Amino acid sequence: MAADQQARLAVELEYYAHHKAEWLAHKTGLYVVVKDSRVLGFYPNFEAAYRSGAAAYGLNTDFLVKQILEHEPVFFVF
Amino acid sequence: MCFSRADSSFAKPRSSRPTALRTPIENQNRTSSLRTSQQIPVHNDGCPDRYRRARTILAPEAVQKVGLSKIDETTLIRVGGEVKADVYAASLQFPHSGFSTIEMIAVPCCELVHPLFRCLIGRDVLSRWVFTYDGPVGTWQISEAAVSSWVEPPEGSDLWGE
Repeated sequence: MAADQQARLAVELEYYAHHKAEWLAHKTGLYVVVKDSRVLGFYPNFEAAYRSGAAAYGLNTDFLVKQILEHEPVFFVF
Repeated sequence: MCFSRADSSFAKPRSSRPTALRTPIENQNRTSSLRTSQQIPVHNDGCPDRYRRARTILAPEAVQKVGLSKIDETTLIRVGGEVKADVYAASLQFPHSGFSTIEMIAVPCCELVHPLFRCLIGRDVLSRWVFTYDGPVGTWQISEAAVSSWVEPPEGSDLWGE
């Protein structure tokens, strides 16, 4: 991952990491949308989460859409 | 296949016309020696829940060209080891095939094995189709029950919108 790409969403990912334990208690499996250090909301699926984020922040802006899971998923590419 | 921002195609009309894409790899005239078929359901590949084999991958050149918005980061395991990857929101279209546009999908980005490959289709896309591979003949076929209307691309454009 390039350094300039890593900087994108750094604030949001840090915010997520800080609140993850708290959210796992009641919101496991839901998708959270975060922009800067503000939570837009929690959603039942990716589509609903992304739609809300795009409606609130536009399509040209990065915002975090992340499923709240205890263990971060790992994907195979073969 | 081409991809774009996950935006304007949210509400495209769909028809119920079935479609299929057949791709012969070798001799199309050969016939399969299989006389009977046996389907083996595969629901659990034995991987822990944390390990998934679902994601479609985009190459960095493709992400840069389209200017996708970053929405997350994730971990990929590929030949050579584990890599951190950015995740982007995209819309996938399949020109010249008639397959439905995938209006919104999360796609990680990493270098692919060859510069000509800009997208590696994963199970998140394949799960929308029926994929049939005939090994003895060397052909594969994908089909879809419900497809979006075909729109002729503008004159002079290719799969990459150039």
